[in-house]
Amino acid sequence: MMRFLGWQYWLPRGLTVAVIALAAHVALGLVARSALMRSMSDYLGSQVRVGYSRVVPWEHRVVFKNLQVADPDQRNQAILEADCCELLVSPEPLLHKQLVVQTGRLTGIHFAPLDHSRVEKQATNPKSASLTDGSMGEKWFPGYGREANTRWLAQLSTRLQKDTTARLASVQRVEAVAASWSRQSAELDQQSEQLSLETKKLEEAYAAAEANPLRNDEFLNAIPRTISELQAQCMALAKKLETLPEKLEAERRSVIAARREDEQSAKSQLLIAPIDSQNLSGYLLADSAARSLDDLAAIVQGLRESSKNRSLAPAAHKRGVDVLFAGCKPESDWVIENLELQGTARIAGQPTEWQGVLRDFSSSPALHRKTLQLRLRAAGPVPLELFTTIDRTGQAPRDTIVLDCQGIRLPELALGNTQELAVSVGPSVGTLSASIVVEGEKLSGEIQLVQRNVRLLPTMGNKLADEAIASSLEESLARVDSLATRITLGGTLTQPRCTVWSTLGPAVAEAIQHAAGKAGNEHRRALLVEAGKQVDERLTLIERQMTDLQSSHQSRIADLAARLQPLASSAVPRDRLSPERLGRRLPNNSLFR
Amino acid sequence: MVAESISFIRRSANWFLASTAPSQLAIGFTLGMLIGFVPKTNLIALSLCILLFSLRCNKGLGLASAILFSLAAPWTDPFAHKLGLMALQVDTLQSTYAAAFRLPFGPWWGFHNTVVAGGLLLGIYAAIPVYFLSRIFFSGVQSVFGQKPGARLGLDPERQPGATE
Repeated sequence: MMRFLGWQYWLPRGLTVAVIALAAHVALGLVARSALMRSMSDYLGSQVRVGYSRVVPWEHRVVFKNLQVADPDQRNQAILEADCCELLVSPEPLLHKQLVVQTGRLTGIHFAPLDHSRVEKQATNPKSASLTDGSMGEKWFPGYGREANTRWLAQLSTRLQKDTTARLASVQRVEAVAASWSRQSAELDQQSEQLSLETKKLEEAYAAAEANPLRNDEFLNAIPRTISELQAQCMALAKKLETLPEKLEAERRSVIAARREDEQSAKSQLLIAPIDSQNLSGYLLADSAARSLDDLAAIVQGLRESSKNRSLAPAAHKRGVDVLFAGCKPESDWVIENLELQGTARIAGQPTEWQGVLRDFSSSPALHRKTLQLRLRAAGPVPLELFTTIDRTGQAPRDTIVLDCQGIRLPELALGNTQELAVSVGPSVGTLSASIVVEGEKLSGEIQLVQRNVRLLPTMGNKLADEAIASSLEESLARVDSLATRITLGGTLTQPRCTVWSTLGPAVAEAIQHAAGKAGNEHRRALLVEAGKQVDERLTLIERQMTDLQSSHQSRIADLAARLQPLASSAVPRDRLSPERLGRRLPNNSLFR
Repeated sequence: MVAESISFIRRSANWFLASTAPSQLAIGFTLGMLIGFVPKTNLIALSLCILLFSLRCNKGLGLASAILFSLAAPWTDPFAHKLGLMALQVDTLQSTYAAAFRLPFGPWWGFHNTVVAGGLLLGIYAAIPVYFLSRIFFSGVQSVFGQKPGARLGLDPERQPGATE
């Protein structure tokens, strides 16, 4: 009996118990760490690392420290880290091989900074690049009017082209006058030349005939008639020349009348149909919005795929099948009923502390029969509230996202196409609210963004990069202080049909109409001045040419007349004996008759 | 050279067999076979292991047997699965199974798994013939390798009065 009281009895036994307890403590920690790493790696599809774990059985508490979720692409880098995870485990379900965490706390969560090189790599990916040419915008906002806007801008560019004076009536008229004058001048030249040539020939022939009158008796007799014909032609030519100024005057009057039509014609040429402001909103915002929506859809689809894969994939290490006996309900392997979250994140470029609660997070949501809820709240410079539910209890999965973010600092945004029309929205403060529901494949909801203190900077494409338009557009858009955008979601995840409404489109449309009108007026004025100058120059030229022609031809006609005059005076009809005259005097029966 | 080889074989056989009766070897072997047939992540396997280490049997042979039969499990699992499924689908026992399953630690036993149930049944069914056959076999082996020089003269310390069989 005494031996039970001696230290020789208690010490080795006590030490043995202490060693066993210590070993059990260490072993339980290792088992808990291994179980967490395996189950979460299976759930997340990414390696989970735990630095330290401790199990306090009498408090039903498990503590994990230095948790890391590895990047699926780069295993040596963590995408999410947490300093501490403390879980209060319900003991009773453990007897039934189920882990139920009543409450827990995950603190010091921070996400790894975005790897910009990977983002750039993704951006240069041919698949991604192919979606930046407007096809992504077309996917999310079918028929959002990209082509219509491109056409409209091309039309505007065409209308504001500099060289359209040729289309004006006065210019066309003066061109016609010039062509007519050119023909007329050529005709007069030809006539004059012809007359000169004929006169010369006549002179030569006359000189030859005078040398031998008897031989050229007929010619000499016909010469007065020829001369009178030539003189008549000279007179006609002179008359034509005299009427030329009158004709030119008449043409000038017709050109002046056409000039009056020019004003109307120029106006009609520069008349542009008003641009559809909501189409313009789509044109500017669709691509940018589509990228964000595509990312969101990828996240939702990724979550669903991983959930589906988890439920379909058989456990690789599992042997045999677990039979469910009659009256037994299948249960989720682990359930986290309530987990408080606390961490930091960079929201819109600003470090923000946030808190949240995760409810009914389980390994098999369908078995747990409760909807997973995540509520996050951030205070400070970017007040944010996010409420997400992931419901896998029904036939079709149902996911909802409700976001309300006040005073978010939005970075600079480049909207539109710099080759045609782009608007750069400077950094601004905005309010973002979104309510998105994805039920099965069906997508519905609304996203609203109100931006304040915006600064819009327009950029026109190469053809429209006119200083007048750019400055006018910039001036008009400088007055815009706030923007409101609403995106209505519809369709399905694979074939979305969303619509965008924004005050940006009307503001830009109004500014562009105003700028185009102003530029059009200036262009019209320049066009009319240019046309008037062209017309005046052409008319002056024609007049000068006509004066020159008139003077040169008149002198030539005078010369011809002077040359014909002596011929006419000397070439009198000859009264000579001729067989006919003689024949008339001879008797009818004369032999010489 | 030949003598050294024989000596090595004798020493190895003694390491497994020496100081152990054929019945203890057979118990170890049979329990090892049972452990080998059953998947290990459940209380049945743990209980069998405790049983192995609690009984007076050859632990080394039991562990070796467990490893050997575990390696053969991929070939026995399909049959064990069918057997277990048949046993677990007996209508009249459903309420019993369910009641047992709902008890604390019920799911930890793993008997609701077809391979566990089938492996256990297969092991139990094979245990008696395996025990007797292995006992005969080990008796034979012991008679060949287990006798030490001088045993016939009563010089073997294990044959001395007071030595356990």
